[in-house]
Amino acid sequence: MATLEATPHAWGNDKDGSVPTIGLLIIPLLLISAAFLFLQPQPVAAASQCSSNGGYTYYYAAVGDTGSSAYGVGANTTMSSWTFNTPVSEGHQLWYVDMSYSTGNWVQMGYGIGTLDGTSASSIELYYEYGIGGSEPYYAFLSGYPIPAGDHGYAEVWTTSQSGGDWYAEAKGYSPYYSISWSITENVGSSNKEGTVSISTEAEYATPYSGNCDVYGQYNYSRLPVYTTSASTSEPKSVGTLWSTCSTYNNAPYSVYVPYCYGSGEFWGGS
Amino acid sequence: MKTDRKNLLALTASLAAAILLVFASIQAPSSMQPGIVGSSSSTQITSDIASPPPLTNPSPVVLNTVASAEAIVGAPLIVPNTAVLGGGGYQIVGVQVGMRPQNYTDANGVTYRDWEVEFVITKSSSPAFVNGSTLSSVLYNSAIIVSEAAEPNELNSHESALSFMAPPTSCLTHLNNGSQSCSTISESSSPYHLVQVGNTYVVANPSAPFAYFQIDSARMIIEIETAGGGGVLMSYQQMMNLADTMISSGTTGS
Repeated sequence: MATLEATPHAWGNDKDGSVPTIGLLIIPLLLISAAFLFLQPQPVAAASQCSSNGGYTYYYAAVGDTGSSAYGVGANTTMSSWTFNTPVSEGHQLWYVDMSYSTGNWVQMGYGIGTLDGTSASSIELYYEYGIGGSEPYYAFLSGYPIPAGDHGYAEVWTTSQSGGDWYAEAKGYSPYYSISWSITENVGSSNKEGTVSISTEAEYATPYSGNCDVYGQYNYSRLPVYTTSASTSEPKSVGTLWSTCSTYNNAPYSVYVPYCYGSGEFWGGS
Repeated sequence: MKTDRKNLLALTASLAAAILLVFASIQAPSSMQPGIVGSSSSTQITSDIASPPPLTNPSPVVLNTVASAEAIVGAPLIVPNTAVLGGGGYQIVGVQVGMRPQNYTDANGVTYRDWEVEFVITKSSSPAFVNGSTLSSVLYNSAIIVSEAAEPNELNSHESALSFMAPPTSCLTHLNNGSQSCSTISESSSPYHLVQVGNTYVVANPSAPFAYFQIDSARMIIEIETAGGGGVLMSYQQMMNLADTMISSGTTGS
């Protein structure tokens, strides 16, 4: 019978070549863990060619918790595998959390690279965009802080306190690498307070382009997505509830994945 | 049970790698790393031409009558006069109660009775609305929404309009020392116009069209917009005609 002895080997007794007791305990656990690995959704084979004939061609992927009205959303991601092949002036890639109010207005915070309507970020930067009051969407990059690969970012958007009869949305993005947070507070009016929340990736090709799709590592991995169920001055990451249901958009070539929900990119729009 | 030790080590090592991958994939972000302070930051807002559609979950819509909505909120509503929208058979199909009355203390410490309702207006050419059956994705794809909300008597109409039009505030915080710098960021071009109707100030976006205004005497904030931001259901002039009549009704109490 194998016995466990004090030994520098973590595996236990190796004198007689028998399976040590601790090994007998570890192997089933490892097998179970390996099974979990196989159960996780894997990256799908994806179309490798993206094209635009001069209009605005979008590829878009999203997963979201649409089962209930939410007042906020937050999620982690790791900026590890973005390859931007397209000339910066000809397109963009984004990862963001989205708060879509029931009125159809929306606010987003995340990370982006490339060009949106004439202004460029040549490296990945914190990114903010909103569409309120029927206006064309407006966006901003936080320049001066290029996000390096491996940075474990966090982005969130939520409805904060009300003032003067209007609600305010707050969006916040983090870069642990720089140890910074960037927040934007905006008056979103009297009717925008709750809606549906999602995590998205987006790629756009704005000028005539036909080539390899830019790569997010085929899917962008997002962790710990949370939503909030009431307007609060607190951030979703501290008061949020993990998603209970997921909805996805389905199509290639881009995809976004959270631990229990997997969606892939949908072509929409175009020229 | 006996086995070869090298094989065992290889097996356990490979499975250990697998388990590490699993755990790595579900770990929270690592703790903050020493920062490299960037040289500068800028937060100019620029308009974007297009944006993805929101991820929505269509659900059956249940609307109230005007009378029942007034009973729920316990206050008289200003009913939009769809006749001023002109031809096209505009009609109010119902009222959604976005927020039932509740006492609310806002960021300024003012406590008031808050509520919000939304009038849903469609054209005769829109899909017929069946209460409790028509999906939100159908109804709100071709509807005008007029929302009315209580206001806490903090700001007058002009102040309220300026507050809504104010550009976003941006703050950059260095987490390692708590230092923070904030600024009001500028939009490359504001979509809003400020239009005065009597003593009511209307924030109007002609291209949407969209309108936001507070009627002081009615203690109410009103927004007029096309649901979902899509479709051309009314012109800017039609929207302003609707705003004019609501301001008149709210001012005179008629």
